Amino acid sequence: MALNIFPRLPLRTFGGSFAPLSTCRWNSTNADAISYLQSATRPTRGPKPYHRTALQNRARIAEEQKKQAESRALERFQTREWRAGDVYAPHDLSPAQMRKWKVRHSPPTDAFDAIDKNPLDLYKNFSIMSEYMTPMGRIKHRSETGLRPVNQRKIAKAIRRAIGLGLMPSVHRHPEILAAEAKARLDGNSNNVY
Amino acid sequence: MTSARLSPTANLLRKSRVFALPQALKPPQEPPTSKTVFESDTATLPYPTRAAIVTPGTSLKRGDWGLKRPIPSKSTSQKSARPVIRVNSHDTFEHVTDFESAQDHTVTLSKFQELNLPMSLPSKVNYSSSFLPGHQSPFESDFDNTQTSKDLARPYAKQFRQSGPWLAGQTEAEFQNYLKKVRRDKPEILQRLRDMYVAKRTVEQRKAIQDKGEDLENLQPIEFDEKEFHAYIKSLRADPTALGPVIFELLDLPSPPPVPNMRIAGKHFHAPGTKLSATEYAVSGPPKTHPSAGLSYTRSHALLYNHPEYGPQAYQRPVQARILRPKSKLKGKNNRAIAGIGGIASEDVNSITFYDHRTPPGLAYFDASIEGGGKYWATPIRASITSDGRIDLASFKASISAKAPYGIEDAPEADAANRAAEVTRGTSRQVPKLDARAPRFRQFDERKHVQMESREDTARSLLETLKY
Repeated sequence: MALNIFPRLPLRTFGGSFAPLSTCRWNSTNADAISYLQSATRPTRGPKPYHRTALQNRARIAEEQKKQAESRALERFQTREWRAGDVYAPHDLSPAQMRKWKVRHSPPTDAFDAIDKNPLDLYKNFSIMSEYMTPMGRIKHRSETGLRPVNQRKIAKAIRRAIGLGLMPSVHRHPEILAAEAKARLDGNSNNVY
Repeated sequence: MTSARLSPTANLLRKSRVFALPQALKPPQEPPTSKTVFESDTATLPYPTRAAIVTPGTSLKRGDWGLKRPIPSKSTSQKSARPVIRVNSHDTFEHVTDFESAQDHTVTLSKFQELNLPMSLPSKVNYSSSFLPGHQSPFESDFDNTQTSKDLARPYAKQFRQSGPWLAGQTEAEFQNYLKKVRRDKPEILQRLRDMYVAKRTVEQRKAIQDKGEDLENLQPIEFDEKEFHAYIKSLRADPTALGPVIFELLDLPSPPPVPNMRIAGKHFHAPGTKLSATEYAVSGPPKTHPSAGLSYTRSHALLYNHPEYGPQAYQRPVQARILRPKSKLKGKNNRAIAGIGGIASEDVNSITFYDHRTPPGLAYFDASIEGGGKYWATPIRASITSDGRIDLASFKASISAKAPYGIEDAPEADAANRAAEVTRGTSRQVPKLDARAPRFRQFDERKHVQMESREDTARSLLETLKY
């Protein structure tokens, strides 16, 4: 099955020159060197030797990566993250709509009102605090946080308190968050890092 | 009748669009977040929130839509052959009627109805296997119940709506509000609990008499004792396994999602089994609409599709699916393609397979060289409504035997590398023509002399021979 995957690639053209180097089991068990070479030059019906497929694999992957790189520049303009269940009309695929989906908006509702918590009580929770800070340690503006004025004042005070107590660094994210992010980057798909 | 007794003006008003239009539904709510949100205020919503209205041709000529003032023909009858509008507000400060075209949802509905799919109750599709859950119509009398339906008395009856809120889906603030409401209604709720207590005692007494083998005539009506009742409440409070089912019954709350495995050993309030019609609703919450959402009223999918030449077919004519999101996208970790069928985005069930060398172009990764975007032929198989009102559509890639009778086939793989290179690397300011490609619909006669290159061609030639 795995060897019939690449029917488009010219198998025969450079296959013969690599076949004798094969370390495939059905070849290595063949003691007779002459028949070994003959079997390699003859068009075989069984599975192809390992090196041949590996090389074709590599060529194919290189070709695909080239193709993908070409389209990537244009893919950036598809800004909408489609979800299952979305309904779309033709205008939803238009450039005007895609431009709208690119814009960042602040959250429309106050997150602390939703969870019914006072931000000042959460000053020890550095992961919540760093959600309301930039990576360089600045407190985010209310236009970015979407909090109502009372909660914006409280979260700002809580962040200042956490930094003052030495619970959090003031010029970068908390080391544990940085470590978790680095780990996620390592575990995640390498395609996502660009 | 009341309408006859009303004054002519009142009668006119009652029959007018002003009164006939229902209130708008709430648009879908995103959960509260601290992150930036990407959204478009003019994008088509996952479900319509306002009624779409039409007007007969004679009135359309005059711009009469039965609204407060005529609607301009330039944006209705001159723009479309069958204009359908929705009214955002009858009157505004500027003395205009705020309206827009409702074609986005009406056309989606008619496209959906062309798929000939019945609505099913939702069920989780297991992506690791090709096995799909069976069809269960929400219109069966065992499932099509609310808390007030008469059919609820049937032995295995389920319901799709309960009167209480779904606690698992509430934010803390909403829960506190609900608690306030419960506290306010405490006297009535306690009275209901007393009734439940009496009913429970009656059943217990009856069972005791039956166990002893005595005559049921000895059954005495239970006299309510306030002291015993308080003792019962005390015993409930002490026992979390007993309190949970009583509370959920008393307030008619939908049961919460199952307790996670790590918490099963610990102390938690037990919930009764779900009363909702689908297990998926028990996990993601009761549905906001009727489980069919009025998209289709057929109960079963037991249709036979007849082809004029080849006779009855197992599958209906495949439909084209637009690839909205290829499998490997630049952003995001989710490795699932999203395809749009009839204007409804759905997760592509087949693209989960790790490697498929017959993937249509544009599905594995974004291919800029395909004219009009990547598409493939699909056979939709299942449609349901999720608890937040979205359409959940499942489809298979159309098989060779489904496509063959109609002479359709997926686009051949394009030499995307060369064409896209022209676009992205080219020095000229003009975009080259990317649509130089053979038509995808081919006539039967053309295919007669096609060389047999693939299994698909073999199958097709086999069909040709069977015909004669």
